[in-house]
Amino acid sequence: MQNNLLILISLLIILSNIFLLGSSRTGAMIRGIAFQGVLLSLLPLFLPSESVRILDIIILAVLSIAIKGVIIPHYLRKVTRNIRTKKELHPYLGYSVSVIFGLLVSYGSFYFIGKLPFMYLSISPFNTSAAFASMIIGMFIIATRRNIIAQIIGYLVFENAGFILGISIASSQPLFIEIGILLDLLAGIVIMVVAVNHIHLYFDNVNTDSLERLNK
Amino acid sequence: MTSIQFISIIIVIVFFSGILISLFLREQKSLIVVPLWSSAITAMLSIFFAVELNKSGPFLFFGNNFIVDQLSIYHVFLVNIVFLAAGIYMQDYFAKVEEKKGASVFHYRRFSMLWQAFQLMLLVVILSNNIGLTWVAMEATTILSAFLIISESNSLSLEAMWKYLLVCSVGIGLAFIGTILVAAAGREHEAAEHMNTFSGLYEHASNLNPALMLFAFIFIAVGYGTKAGLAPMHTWLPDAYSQAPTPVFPVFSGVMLNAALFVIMRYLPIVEASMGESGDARSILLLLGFLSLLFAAVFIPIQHDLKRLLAYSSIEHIGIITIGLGLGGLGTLAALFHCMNNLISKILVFFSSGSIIQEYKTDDMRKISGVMKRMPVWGSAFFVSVLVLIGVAPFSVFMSEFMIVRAAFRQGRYLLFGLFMLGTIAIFISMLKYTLDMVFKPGLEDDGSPEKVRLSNMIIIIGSIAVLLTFGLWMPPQFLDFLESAAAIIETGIKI
Amino acid sequence: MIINIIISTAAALVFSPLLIGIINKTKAFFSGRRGSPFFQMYFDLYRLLKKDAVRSGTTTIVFILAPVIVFCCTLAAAVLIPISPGTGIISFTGDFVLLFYLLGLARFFLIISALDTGSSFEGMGASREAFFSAMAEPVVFISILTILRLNGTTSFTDALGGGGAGNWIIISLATVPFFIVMLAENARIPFDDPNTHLELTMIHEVMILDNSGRGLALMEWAASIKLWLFSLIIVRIILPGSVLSFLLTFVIAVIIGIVESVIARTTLLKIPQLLFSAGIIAFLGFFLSFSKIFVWS
Repeated sequence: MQNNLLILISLLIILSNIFLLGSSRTGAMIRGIAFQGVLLSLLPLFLPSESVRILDIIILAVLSIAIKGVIIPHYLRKVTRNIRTKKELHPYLGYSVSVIFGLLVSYGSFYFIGKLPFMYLSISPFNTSAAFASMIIGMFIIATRRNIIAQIIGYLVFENAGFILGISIASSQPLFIEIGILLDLLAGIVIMVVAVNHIHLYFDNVNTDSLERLNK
Repeated sequence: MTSIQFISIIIVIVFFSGILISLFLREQKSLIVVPLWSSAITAMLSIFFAVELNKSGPFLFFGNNFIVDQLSIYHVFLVNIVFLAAGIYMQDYFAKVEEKKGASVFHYRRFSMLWQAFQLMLLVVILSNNIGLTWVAMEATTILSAFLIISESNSLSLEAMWKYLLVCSVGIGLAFIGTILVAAAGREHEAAEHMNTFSGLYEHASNLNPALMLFAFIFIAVGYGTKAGLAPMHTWLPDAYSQAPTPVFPVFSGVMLNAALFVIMRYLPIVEASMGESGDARSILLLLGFLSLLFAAVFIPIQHDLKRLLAYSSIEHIGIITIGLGLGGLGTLAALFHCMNNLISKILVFFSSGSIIQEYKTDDMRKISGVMKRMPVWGSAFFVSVLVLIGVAPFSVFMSEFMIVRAAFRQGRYLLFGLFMLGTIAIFISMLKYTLDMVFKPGLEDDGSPEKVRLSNMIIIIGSIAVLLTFGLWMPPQFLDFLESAAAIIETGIKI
Repeated sequence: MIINIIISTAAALVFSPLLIGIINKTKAFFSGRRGSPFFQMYFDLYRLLKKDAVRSGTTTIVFILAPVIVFCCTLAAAVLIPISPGTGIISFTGDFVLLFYLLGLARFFLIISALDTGSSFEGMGASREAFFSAMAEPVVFISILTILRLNGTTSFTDALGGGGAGNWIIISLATVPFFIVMLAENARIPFDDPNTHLELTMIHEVMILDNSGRGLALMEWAASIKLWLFSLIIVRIILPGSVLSFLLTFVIAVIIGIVESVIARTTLLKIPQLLFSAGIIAFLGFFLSFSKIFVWS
């Protein structure tokens, strides 16, 4: 049963990735990433209980729900309101192509992970493959989207991949490291949001097309 | 080791109080002095680490989370030298900036605080023994240094900062995945609680899962390599350099890039030992190093911007260090030696070119000419530093590059030898051409006012040229011993 | 065999109008009305069957035959589905193709009878019906392939009448898209609004606008049998072991009622997106049905 729940969470993570790949509206993407953040935060609860203290797990889960599910989406929503972009204009690759790419990557990483000689280490190979798929999909979103908010969301997907991987195969990190990682993520996003605000002041729009003057 | 714990706590306190003091200061001048003083105090205190190391050999403190050995103490000193020099140069630089446009106190305060936090985090990266802590501190340096790039907000510097943030964050994310994989390999082992430290991993390296370690090392090399500016992940670097204020350059180029490479140096022996010294991990580094050299050799001849040119030169030198690491043996020694040479020559070249850019008010090399006539001191410093960078004979950069060539030759890798020579010679020619044009071509106009160089800056110029020359001509045997023991840590791992 | 056919036919004929009644009652409950009685559809059918049909002068024999063909094909498809374990009538490799192409034949006649009236209005509805069903069909087939893989058979009726359930995650990955397709195929919200006669929203209603009397009765009855068929498939996928599982179709009807009460009809342009996402879920389930992980767990 526990295994099935783990699989269900990873499936929902994959589906939310694909939702992010297919959605054009910034608001919808923010909702998607918040959903994914909350899902991820549930993962520590499935760790084998002998290897970690229960209090650590609860602190970690609560903190990451707060940061990934509430604070970061709130910030992103605020900056979106501030800069008034609703819709992505033209991504470098179409939405349907992106979605198909996401499906192929999700399945491909599942296939590929099964071949690796050390997958017996992970609590569930399915989680690990979802993590690798998220990693690639995150980079894909960063590379193919013109909208800066969408790029930040791509980065978040990418970071989430690290979080899933950390939970599913290396559960022995001390708590302070995990909290440091979360705070780093938060600080990184806050800085990116501040940068977006500055960029908005100077460029009037936040498409990365206007960020192509330093090319040599 | 309580004295060491005491001293490191003092260092942390110095930085935090420096940050706090900057919060309350209102004068721009004093805001710039604070980081200089905290660097100076740290430089003096870190001598205690060296003394302790000399007395008892490598040791851990703060419950296995920090480590002092020859390798880390070497880098601690390099970091401190650069921060001190940058701190001294900063006084003059910002005084001139102030005359020009009078940036607000807010900017100075932000700069001072970020600068100190950045230095503290770099020290944590270098002294950390915990792989997770190393990663956290490395990520923190990315975030903290992002705002150092935009001392003056304009659209171009924002663009550079955005690229820097995004590319480096993704790179650091990849490094995180590598770190996790290493931790997973360590978790298999029965001594699991020591296995998230470098020293613990060294100790049991031969029992780790080799496939997993190689897989992890790919992520680590690419991830930290992004931060180190290795090609083809270097795209953020020229943009960031072309926009950052001059005192930030050597810190980026000498320290942050080196710190990222330092982390790779920490992982290298563990991975190699786990795979039974098969050399696969070294081949990855060789590949990345040669790509960097190649990118630099291709892009340097087509630059017009002085700062971008120097950025590509940084990529070249990081590539050379990586090649040294990839060769192993004598190459490792050469790589460590090159770290120092590169750093000191970077101090010289960035400060002199910064002064030139400040004087000419442009960084377009086609518009800069007659430097030698207009500003003889900085001009000659610039000329000498470029000669050093491209590897002209009596200077120490030549020596370390020569050692790498010898290492390649001795291992019978003639193809690598040929590629290396080709790359460095191409860079030699194109950089020399630019520099000769800039320095000796008669200038169009000359306002006739004599060049004013502060005494402190003169000390930096003469001191660094002296060091480069000395180490080029004569290697002190104590220093060689020290370097060899540091290289031995990269070769065979640390024994505590 | 004969008894099975009789039972299936009787169940399809008798229970299907009740499903419509339950949906309408649920919707009435959610909007705070008392609503029409559960058996309203039976009364309607009785009333319509008594009446003679009026037809437009431009129509041909196609229009007269279409209600009969639609009704018969739909009923035949419904009879193929076993309502309890071991009551399948026929089973052979790829029988689901027969099942869904019987429905396809029904749809074809529905469409050409709508075109036969010569009204541009009905032609528009026909084109939409053709468009959406073309997109819904792959989703259905992928979901069914998943179910077949889980049960290790090549015959759909065997799988439904079999009794071995697979992993609930994969089953839900097959069922959710099937449910979405059911809403699309039966012209329910969010794809089509069965209550309105506003010209821009209609798909199914508009095609039977010219039918009256017995023809209309057969068309409506066929539509309700189709709904019965789809909900029966879903029920049989979820609970293949139970004899009385067909009673759960009424629960499905309640769920449809709830969905119709809480979701608004989407714009026409978004319908392909919705079906596309159903297809993605179905694909994911299909991929996963190949994986070893569900053997390990």
